[in-house]
Amino acid sequence: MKESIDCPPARFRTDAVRGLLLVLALLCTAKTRLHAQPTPVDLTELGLEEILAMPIIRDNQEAPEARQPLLSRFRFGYEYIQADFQDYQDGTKRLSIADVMAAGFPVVPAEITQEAHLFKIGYELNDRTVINFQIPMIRQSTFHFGNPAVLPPQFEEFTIDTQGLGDIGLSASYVAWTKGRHAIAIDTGFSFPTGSIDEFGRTPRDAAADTLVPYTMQLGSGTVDFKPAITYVGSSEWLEWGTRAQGNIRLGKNSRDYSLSNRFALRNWITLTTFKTFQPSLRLATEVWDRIHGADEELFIIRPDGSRFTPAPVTDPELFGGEKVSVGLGVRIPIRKGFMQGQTIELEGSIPVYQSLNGPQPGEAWRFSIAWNLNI
Amino acid sequence: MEVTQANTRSQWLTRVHRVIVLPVVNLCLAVAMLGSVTSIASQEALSEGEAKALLLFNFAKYTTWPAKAFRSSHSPLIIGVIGKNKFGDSLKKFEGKRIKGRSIQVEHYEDPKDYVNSHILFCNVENPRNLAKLFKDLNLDSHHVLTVGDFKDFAKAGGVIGLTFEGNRLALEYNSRAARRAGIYLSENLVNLAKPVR
Repeated sequence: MKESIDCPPARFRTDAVRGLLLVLALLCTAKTRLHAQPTPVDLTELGLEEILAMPIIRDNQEAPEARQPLLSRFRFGYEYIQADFQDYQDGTKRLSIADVMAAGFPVVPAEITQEAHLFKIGYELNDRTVINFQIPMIRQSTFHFGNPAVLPPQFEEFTIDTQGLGDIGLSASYVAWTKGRHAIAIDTGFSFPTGSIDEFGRTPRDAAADTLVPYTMQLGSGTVDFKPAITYVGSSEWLEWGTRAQGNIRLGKNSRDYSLSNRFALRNWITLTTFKTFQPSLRLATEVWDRIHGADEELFIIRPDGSRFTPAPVTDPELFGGEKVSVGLGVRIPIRKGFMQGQTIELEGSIPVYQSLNGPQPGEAWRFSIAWNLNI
Repeated sequence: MEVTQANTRSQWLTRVHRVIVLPVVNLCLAVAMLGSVTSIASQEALSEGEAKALLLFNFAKYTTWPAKAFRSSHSPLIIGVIGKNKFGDSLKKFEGKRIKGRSIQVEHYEDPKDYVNSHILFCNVENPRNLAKLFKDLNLDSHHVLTVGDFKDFAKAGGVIGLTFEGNRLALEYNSRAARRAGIYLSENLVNLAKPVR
């Protein structure tokens, strides 16, 4: 999804700490259980199910895939993501709509909903390298409150929608290191500015004609973005876990003389693989992002005295950036029988347990995703 | 003055969160994960050859051969390999172990005439097209051999069990018609783990 505004209020802080402690407790429990697993003194003690559940270090020269036709190296995937942004924050302090209006903003986006349909194609160059191509279709909707003292009546409440192609992505993932049940992969990827940054809509700026909508409502970044990542994945007989560090670095400025926030995310997850057809997972993610660099001059309003101001928080490039910790629960459903054999369905919901925002800025309320993957 | 102090304290708390809490949370998580890693890293990792050798050994546990498949009640259960040995020493390790009262014997074959002596035969055929000839030489109608292979569509081509990969895990394909033709019985524990093919 394109630029998202992210982070939880102070009253959540205690719950957040409890939640994080719970996550750590679960992991410690997992570790204890792993220690408690009897290590086979003889590999012949391993049963069929255990062998089939274990990751295998593949023999490159003799891997069956090396003999497979080219078509079988393709992977196809689709993912739907929806994210909702609502309550305003400045730092970790929660603000009401009235607080934001009192801060000098006549227009306040009250709820931003972002939806992304991601169509993915992957191709295995060899046992260690996969090339991925991704096409995102974006739909966004923002419901606004307007200050009735300064705006026409039709803008006391109004909604703006945009939709279309987002920034397409191309990346390569290389498994750089494997040892036993552990692997490290390095990703190098770029997204390209195919998403529009010239979306217009009816705003209080001009009641009679469409005008440029804010950064959050544009469909792309307008820049080539570099997306490096490094991922560690490990597994045991009944658990998989991993950690992934990923950056999103904007290369230069776009044609409207700004670049969206640079982002860095660290995601940790653990998946219970005991059951072959229902595998629950827990994820903890930390994300840090900075302000928008530069500005789209068309989003400023010029006062009669020549000074300029931003009519809504989402039009002020300085009111972006922050940090967020979120917890997600998910489930992976590998389909092993029937006409959908070989396909995998994954669902995940997440909520932030800590957000600190350069505000006033609307924080993320929740996020949901459902994904389908097919390896031919 | 009090307001200023309160603001300073609030900013300080925010900085503490930013600078200490977030990295500490992630560090703890990473340490917890590394702890898990250390605990299982001490276990033996499975190579592809090792895993496939273990599967062959397990197939022997879950397969029943007719009595006439053995020369006597004390005859060994022979696991044969055709072609290049991709198991290293993994398969040899099972020699001498006993399953259902019979000791395991591992053989590598060059001459097709010897195939018929084996009870489990891993068919490492360089060219899958040669498989039909192999099955013909083997004369599966009169010899009770559990054929296993690891190239694509081995079971579809008439082998009993095909070994494939699903991601980085091994999976099984099972041809029940080929098993019936060979006159061997595979237990449900094995069959239920395999994808049936026709």
